Formats: sequence, structure tokens, C-alpha cells
Amino acid sequence: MTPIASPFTTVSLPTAALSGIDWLSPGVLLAAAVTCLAVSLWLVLPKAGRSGTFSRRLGLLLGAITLGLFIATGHRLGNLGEEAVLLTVSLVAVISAAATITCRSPVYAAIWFALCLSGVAGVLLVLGAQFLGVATIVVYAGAILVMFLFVLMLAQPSGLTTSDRITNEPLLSAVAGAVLLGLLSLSIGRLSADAPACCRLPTKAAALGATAESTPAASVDLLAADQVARLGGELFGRHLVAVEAIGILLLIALIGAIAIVSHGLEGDQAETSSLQEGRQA
Amino acid sequence: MMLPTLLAAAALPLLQNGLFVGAILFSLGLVGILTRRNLIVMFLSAELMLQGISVSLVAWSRYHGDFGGQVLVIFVLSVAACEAAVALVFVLQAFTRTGRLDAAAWQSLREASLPRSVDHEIPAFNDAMPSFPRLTQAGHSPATDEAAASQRDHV
Amino acid sequence: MTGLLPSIETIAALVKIGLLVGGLMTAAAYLVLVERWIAAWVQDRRGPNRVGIPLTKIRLFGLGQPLADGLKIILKEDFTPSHVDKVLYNAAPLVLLTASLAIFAAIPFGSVLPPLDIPGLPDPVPFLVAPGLDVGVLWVFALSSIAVYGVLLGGWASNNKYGFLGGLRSSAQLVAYEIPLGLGLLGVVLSAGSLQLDVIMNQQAESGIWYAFAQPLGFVVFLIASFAEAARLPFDLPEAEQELVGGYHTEYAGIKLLLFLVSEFLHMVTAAFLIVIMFLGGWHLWGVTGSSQEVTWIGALLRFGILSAKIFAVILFFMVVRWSWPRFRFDQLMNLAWKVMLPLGLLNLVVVATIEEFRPRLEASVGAGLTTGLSLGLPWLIFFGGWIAAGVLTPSGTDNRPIRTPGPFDSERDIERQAAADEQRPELVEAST
Repeated sequence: MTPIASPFTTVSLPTAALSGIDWLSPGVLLAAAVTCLAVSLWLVLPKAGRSGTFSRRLGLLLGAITLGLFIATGHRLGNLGEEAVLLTVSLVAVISAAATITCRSPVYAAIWFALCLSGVAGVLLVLGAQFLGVATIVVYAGAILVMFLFVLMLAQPSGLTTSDRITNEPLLSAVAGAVLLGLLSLSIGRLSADAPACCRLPTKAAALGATAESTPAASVDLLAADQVARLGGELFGRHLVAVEAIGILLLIALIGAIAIVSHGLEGDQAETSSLQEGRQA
Repeated sequence: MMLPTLLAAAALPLLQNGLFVGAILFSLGLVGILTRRNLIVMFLSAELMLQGISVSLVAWSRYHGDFGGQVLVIFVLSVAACEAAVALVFVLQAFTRTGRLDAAAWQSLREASLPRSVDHEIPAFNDAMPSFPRLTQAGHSPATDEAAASQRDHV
Repeated sequence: MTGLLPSIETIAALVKIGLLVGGLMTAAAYLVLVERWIAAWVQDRRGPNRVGIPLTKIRLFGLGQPLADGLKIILKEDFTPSHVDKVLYNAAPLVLLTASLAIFAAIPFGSVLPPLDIPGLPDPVPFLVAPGLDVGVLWVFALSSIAVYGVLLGGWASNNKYGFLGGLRSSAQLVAYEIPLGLGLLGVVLSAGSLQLDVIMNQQAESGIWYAFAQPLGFVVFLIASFAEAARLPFDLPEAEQELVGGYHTEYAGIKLLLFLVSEFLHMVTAAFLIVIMFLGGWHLWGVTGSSQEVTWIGALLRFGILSAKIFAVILFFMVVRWSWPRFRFDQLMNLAWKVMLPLGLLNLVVVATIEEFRPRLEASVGAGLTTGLSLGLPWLIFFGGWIAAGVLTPSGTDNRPIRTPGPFDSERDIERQAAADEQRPELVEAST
């Protein structure tokens, strides 16, 4: 059980040396959150051998602590009602995302992913992208995920297999993910207009590049009543070539999928028959 | 407008929170794709990373007041659909060949220098397998258990 | 959203939600009765006509039947089989019903009310829970694709082969028919230039041309696809009683079964709403309702009545069709979706796009009247052309004799008989190997 105790020892041991540190500063909170996240992910991910309920519960508790710490380090919106709305949809998205990667049964993983998609759709709506929020549900939850459930249900009629109960390198991966998240949130926290030149928030003109001949002077109002029509105008105006290209890509993917299916069956038959001939010879 | 769009929120904190949610989704997807072995769960993790990217793009789009980010998310959606179509076909083919959805079933494709991955610890199946109702094949008379029929504890 | 007291708009929305949900639930209960009457009429029976006011002899033509049925099914034991996946088994009917009800947030159920002069409430009040939802039609689509989960999970969690087959069939059917449904709908969206259903209705009222006349091909494609989406006969394979017992709700009982059955009826009501709103003019009737946004109380009620009457007529059509057509086989169902409906839907979309592209230039050169005539005539030409092409190009009949591969339980005699039958049709043997 030593790895479980490690976050507590790192926090409590050097009290004498670190007494001058402000324990509630965002940096410390972030470090604690990252540690908690890594440990809880490691505990909750399915592992061979010691997959007891105790360690899973401890992992869930640590995950809840992580979420609390992240909320504490989050940025205030300045409006309580809006904060509550954003927090709700984000929590749905994040919790079900964590459940997607940690639950053992792939069917449940797919269903958690569907819930995560609805959370993400909520975040997109809250951020003012009505069309995308609904389109995400139509495209992902409606079509893609149902296909996946099909395959899962056809492929695994009889419970869990061994490979769903073990994971590759859970500790290293959990640490890698947590560290990545810590770094990302550090850099997100430093975003501001008056930061030093290294990490200054890019202005729109800078982001579009100096070569853009039509540098928009003022930003458009994304939340106007006819936003879907204007998104369509943007899509088929400034990005027309890209839309055509993506249409061709979809067509190619469709044809490719069908070709792989039909050729795959033929190839399999040819392979098995040639193998049988070889054996007979 | 009935949808709960945040109208009054300050721009910068909204951007930061949106980016942060995107970062969490991305990191969780990364962990999933590194650890899980079921091909479909790996794919779901990749989609999770794409969702993180979408949220970040829309947050930037809101901050800059530009439709560019949203347009990019539409492209992400279409590419994800293509990817799903092709990947699903590959997964099906892999399943018909090996009978498993385990990524380790294809480890013969690994690079020559890498060692073979072996499961040293096989997990214990501690929860009992569910019992399924057994139905008689059509055209055969069902086998009756008279003792159970006379003594059953419920109807 | 900031204050503690709900705003007047929130109260208005809540009132609308209450009216809508109450009306829909009552309608679903009484539609069951109507369906049984229609069935009795088609089969030359009397149908339910006994239940009236309890403890009296008053029968009321059987109008008490839905209440009695509802009471009976609610009071039944909520039995959960031991072999099911408990969480998903309980969640599936809830998902299905929630999605089927939430669809109605974007569906208008009338025109507008005359000005009410309530401070804080924008005039005029539309008959729509979420007015100004910019993505109305997409919202309907998104939630109907969420509803697939209820069916699929219900079938899977039941841990029963009939339930599972029903769930798989249902989701395959819904995913396949969503495409022609969307294509039929895209034509209307393209013509109207809006995704909002109330705007689509208003446009038909203003021009006086319902989209069923302007886009007959799209109308037929949408109609057939919505039969399939509502899983009504001839597309009721998900719960084909003769093959699958009860389909995905085989293992359900009591109130959960009730939730499934109610959501099935709600699917049909949704389909009827969409057909009427998008293709049959909504609340508009020539010479009766007018087309302006200023209405009197009588006008508003008249519009509501006309919309309801149209919807009821479409539902009656659904019910008569149910007792008039035999069920498709699954391969015929998929052939119809992918080989007939999809090309016809695409054809309709291309025609509509062409007309909309050239309409301004035509109006400038030949005048408005001729343009309207052309834009009405060309779709009908294409409609009949497409119909004939579909009839000629698709096989008129399919070989319905069973193809069997020898299984482990087949006797020698079965296999010999099968081989003898196969010799009579070499093309099938070739195709299947």
C-alpha cells in the first residue's frame, strides 16, 4: 500500500522546511490536484490481482477531492447562476469521461461516453455554439456511437473478457495524463492580456497572421439570433474549398469502408483456401 | 432564446474555464488510449481527445468573436465520422480474424526490437457469471424437471 | 436567471410545458382507444365499448377504457427478472420517454396568441415551449437519435434473445431511415431558409402553397421514413409479435412497460406533428385562417383547432395503414431504405436546390406567376419520373423461399432436401457462396 500513502507523505513530511509557503495558493492547490488525479486514476483503472473494492473506493474519493481542488482553482465568472450552469455541464462531461476510460465493461464505457457527449454538447451550448451542440449529439451520439454499440453487443455476448480487466501500464499512464493536465492548466492560468511577452494572449489579428488580407476589425456577435445562418455563410463563404475537400473525404471513407469489407472477406477466403492447399500439399 | 447560453460572463474567465474542461477531456482520453486494451474503448478514448479539442476551439471562437473555431469543429466532426467508419470496419475485420477485441491479439505487428507483451497476472473473475435462461431448440420437446416444478418456491 | 423569483417568461414556459405534457399524455391514452376502434372497424368487430362511469350503467361508448387500462397497468407488480442488467434495465424506459417528450420543446402546437398585455412577456405569445430556438429541426433529430438508446439498451439489458434482436433491429432501422427522413426534411429547410418549425409554418401560410404540393417527392419520402421511424406497421419489425414475442420490451412489465408503450405512441404523434407542420401547412387553411401574425382570440383557437384536426387525420391515416399492410421482411426494409428512399430523397434535394437557385433569375425574366407554375410543375414531373424509375429499376418481387445453410441440428434428410431445393435455383446458391 505504499504508493497510496505517497501523496500524504510528500505533503506532510517537509513541514519545517516549507512552513513559509502559502498552502492555499493556486500553485500548491494545482500540485495537490494533479497528485490526487494521478493516484485516483491509478487506483480506479482496472488492474490484475489487487482489484479490490477498497482501492476503487479510495480512488473514487481521491477523484472527488481532485474535482473539488480543480473547482477551487477554477476561474470565477462573476455571475453565480452562470457559474452553476457551466459547472453542471462541465461536471457531467468530466465525470462521465473519467468513467468511460475506467469502467471495465466496454458497453458501459460506450454509454458513459454518450453521457459525456451530452455534457460536451451542454458546454458547447453554454459557450454559445448552438448548432455545434446539437450537431455533436446528432453525429456522435446518434450515428457513430450506435454503430459502436452494435459491434460491441455483437462481438461480446458473454460478459467481460480478460483484456477488459487488465490495463497496460496504469501507473505510468495515469502520471503522464495528470502531468499533462497540470502543465496545460498552468499555461491556461497564465493566459491574460497583460502577461509577459512569452505567454501573452494572442490577439485576433496576430492569431490570423499578418498575411490575412481581410483582417476583421471588430469581432462579430456570435450570439445573435441568426447565428446558424451566419455560421453557414462563413462555412460556405470563407471555407468553401475546405468544405468540398471534407465532402470528398467523407465519400472516400465511405467507399473505403465498403471496399475493405468486401475485399477483406474475399481475402480471408483466399488466404484460408491457400493455407489449406498448402497443408494438403 | 431558451438555451442557457452564458451572456453575462466575463470573456477571459469563460475562455479559461472552457480551455480547462477541454484539457481535462484531452488528458483523460490520453490516459484511456494508453491503458485500455479493448479496441473499441481505445477508439472511444481517441474520440474523447477530439471532444476536448472541440471544446477548446469553441472557447477560443467565443473569446475572439469569430466563427473560425466553430467551422474547425465542424471539420473535426466530419473527420471523426470518416475515421469511425474506417476504424469500425477494421475492428470488425480484426474481430472476425482473431475472435477478440483485444489489441494484444495483434502484437505480432510490433517492431522487431520490442519484447512480447505477456499477461503475467490474469485477473480473477470474482463476480459470478450471470445465469442465462436456457431455451429448448425449436422442434424438440423441452426437458422438464419434475422435482423443481413440484417444489418451486415462487410462481 | 439571477433573481430568485422566476421571471414571467419562465412561468409562461412552464405553463406551456404543463399543457403540452398533459395534453400529450391524455392524447396517447385516448389514441390507444382510437386505435382499437379502428382495428375493430377494419376487422368488422365492435371494439371496446363497455367501460364508462364505474358503478353506473352509463357506458359512454367505452370512453372510460384508457383510464381503466392505465390504472390496471400502473397497479401491476413492477417485476424485474433476475437475469437482467439492473441499472440499464431501469434506465432504458426513462431515457426513451424523456427523449420523446423533450422533442416537443421545439415543436409548435399552434400559431400565436393575441397580445395579452402582461408586463415582461413579449408579444405575441407563440404556441411553442422554446421560441427562437435557432436549431429547431436539428433539436428534433438529436433527441430522436437519443431515443434510439432507450430501445437498444432496453433490448440489451433484458438479457433475452428476443429483446436483443428487437433492440438490434430497431436501432438498425432507425439509423437507416434517419437518412431519408433528413433528406426529405432538408428540401423543406432549403426552401424555407430556416430551421425553425414555426417559421416554416408561417412561410407556407404566407405563400399559400404547402410543401406537400411544392415537393411531392420529398413528402412521400418523409412520410414513409416517418412510418419507419415511428416503428409502425408495415415497419414494425422491432416488435414483430409473431417473430419476437414483444421485441425489446419482452421482459418489461408494469409501469416500465407503460413508459415504453407511451413513448411509442409519442413517436407516432411526433411524426404526425412533423408531417403536418412541414408539409401540410400547419395551422393554415385557405380562406379560413388568414396568414398574418395578428390574430384575434377566435382566430388563434381556430388555428389551433385546424392544426389539431390535421394531426388527428394523419394519425388516423397511420392507424388505417397499420391494419391494411403486411409487414416487410428485414432485407426488404433495408433495400427500401438504401436503394429506393435514399436516391429518391437525393433527387428531391437536387430538384429543390435547382429551383431555389434559379428562382430569382426566372422571376426577373419571365415573371412571378410563370415562375410559381414552373416551380410547382417541375417537382411533380420529377415525382412521377422518380416513381416510375423506382418501380422499373427495383425488382417487383423478391424470392421469398428460405435460404438455409446446414446447421448442427439439421438431420441428414433436412440437408438433402435443402440441397434438392437449392438445385432448382442455381443463381441463389451462387450468390450466397
